[in-house]
Amino acid sequence: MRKIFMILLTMMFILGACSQGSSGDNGNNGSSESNDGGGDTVKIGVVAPLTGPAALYGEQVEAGAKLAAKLINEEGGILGGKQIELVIEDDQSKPEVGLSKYKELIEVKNVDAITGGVNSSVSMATKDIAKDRILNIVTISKAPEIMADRDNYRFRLNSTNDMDGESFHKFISETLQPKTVAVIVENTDYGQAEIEALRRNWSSENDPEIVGVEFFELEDTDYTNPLTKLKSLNADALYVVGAAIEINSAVFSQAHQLGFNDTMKILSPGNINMEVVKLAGEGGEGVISADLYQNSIDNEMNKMFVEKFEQEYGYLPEKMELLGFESIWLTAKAMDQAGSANDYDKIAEILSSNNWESPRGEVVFENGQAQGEVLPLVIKNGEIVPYEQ
Amino acid sequence: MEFVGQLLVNGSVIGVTYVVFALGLTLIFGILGLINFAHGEFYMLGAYGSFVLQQQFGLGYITSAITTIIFVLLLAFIIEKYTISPLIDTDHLNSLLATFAISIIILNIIVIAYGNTPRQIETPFTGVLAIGDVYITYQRLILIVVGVVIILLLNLFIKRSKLGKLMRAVSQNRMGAMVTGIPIKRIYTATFVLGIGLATISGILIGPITYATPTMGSSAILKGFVVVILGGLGSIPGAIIGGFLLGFGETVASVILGNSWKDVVSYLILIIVLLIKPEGIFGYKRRAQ
Repeated sequence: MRKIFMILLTMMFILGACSQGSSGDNGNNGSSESNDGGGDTVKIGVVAPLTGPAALYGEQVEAGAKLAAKLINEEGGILGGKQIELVIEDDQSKPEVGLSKYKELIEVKNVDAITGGVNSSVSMATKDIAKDRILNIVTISKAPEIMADRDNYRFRLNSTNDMDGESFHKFISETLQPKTVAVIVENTDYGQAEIEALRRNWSSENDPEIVGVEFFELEDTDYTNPLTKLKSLNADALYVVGAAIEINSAVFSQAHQLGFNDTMKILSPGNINMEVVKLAGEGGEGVISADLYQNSIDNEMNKMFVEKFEQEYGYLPEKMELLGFESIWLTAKAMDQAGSANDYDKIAEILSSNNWESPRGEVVFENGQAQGEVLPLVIKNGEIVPYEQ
Repeated sequence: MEFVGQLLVNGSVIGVTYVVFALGLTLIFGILGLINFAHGEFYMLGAYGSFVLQQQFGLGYITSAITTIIFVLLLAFIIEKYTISPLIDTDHLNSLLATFAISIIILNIIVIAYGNTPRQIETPFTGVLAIGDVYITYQRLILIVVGVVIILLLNLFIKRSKLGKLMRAVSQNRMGAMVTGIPIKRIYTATFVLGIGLATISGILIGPITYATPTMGSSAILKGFVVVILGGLGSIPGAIIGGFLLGFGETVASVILGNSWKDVVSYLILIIVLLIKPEGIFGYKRRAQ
């Protein structure tokens, strides 16, 4: 009997490990669309995961990047008529593959700049080879260390969790003004960090008071017990910290079923998307969250971007597509202004010192990191729209 | 403690889910002597079957549930006939590995066919019943009612029906049963199919509450094993007591100590029970076979 249990235990671990990594690996349209035009084109490398667990994000970034190149080329290119040529490489979410792709792009394919970078681990591995050699636009990777010991040529477009938290928590405290907040949070590094950020950002007397914190495990599917306990605290707001789509949806729909209806419902920034809206149904209605982009933002450039994107791909862009677009768009515009595709000191100087127009609004760089506040959003009639009082 | 009523409801929902899932697991272990690693995947199939039939064939919740059960029972029958049955009399390890293989195959077929996106299962029982401060959705109410009915029927079936008696005979003494002319292989098939049916039903009941995901089975089976070991391997009353003990234990722990303690408490209960009674609450010492 003991033997069987040992086997049983071992298998449970294997089973766990297997179920973690099972993801689709679709899309293999990596490699380049090169025509080796030499001096007539500006070559920009895009390194993103097109297969493996982060493939969906990689494809979204690629879609945005391709659209930017297409639009610029249709308008006659940059630097007096040079066309943008994207050299797209698949890093498979693996640091070592990303590193070899960077090397190849710099030393063999002679690209003028590299964008992409979806997984933090890949961006960490590739930052040194690009250092002081080439313009390196980190598009998605969020880890703070990526911007540490930076050369002048490294820029990042996405925000970090801390940046998102700081502006969103301030918005909650100043605009939504709940007196008391009950928090339900995933028991992970991310969840712990978010709780610490909440306590840090709400340290003064006028800030909301955190009256209860309940953790849940990622394997949990029933959240009624922690929710029941939080409900008994009668807090003004319920703050949900979770990164997984099905968890966030289930928590909101179960809260709704437990009669949380008069409570303000808040979701940690960066985690709101249409999948959550669809799954949570009625429970998602009225949920307030924030992200750095939303496709109904009202400005000319965004209207153009959304329209062209939908024409090209048949769906509406979200954050990943926007950042992919921005990576190529800003690079090209900066090169154009600098009058060169590889005078990196000048290009970097121009990127750093200008305010850039983007579909998400104005983008400003500080030490290479794109600044900007997250946009408060709310789920209304099954749509994600900017929050208005 | 003004929310005791709500906790009673929450605990019952969790308890009933554990019991129905674990009953199949314990039944298959008790009679076939087989630890069914694929149990969680059949539970997942219950949820996915409902989803696919609803989305692609436009069936309602109840018709899709019945169709799913029939389909999965058929699948279980075929699997038992062609994989478990030929292996069951060989080394225990063979059939164990076979169920492990089945679980991986089912999991990956679902991932390839429907991806990792969580899927919603529609239910007509969407309303919420509020009795004072106690809230319960109709789907959860249905889960409790159907679950309790299944538990009662299963008990009746095992105790009174002819097939149930044969099953008990095989479970108590395989050799003796064989000598008296009981068709053991057929009893195995019937038990396996019945056990899988229970997993499927719990998947169908829980699906609309938690969404269908390919990995839902692998988290469910962990708790299933805890319940079965707690109650006594192969024991039906054990699975029932074990399931409710764990369901209410987690609920109480979650409220008094905080939700992150609930798993600590459930494994603590398991360790204490095993220290006092190593064969589980209702277990008995098995003779080596």
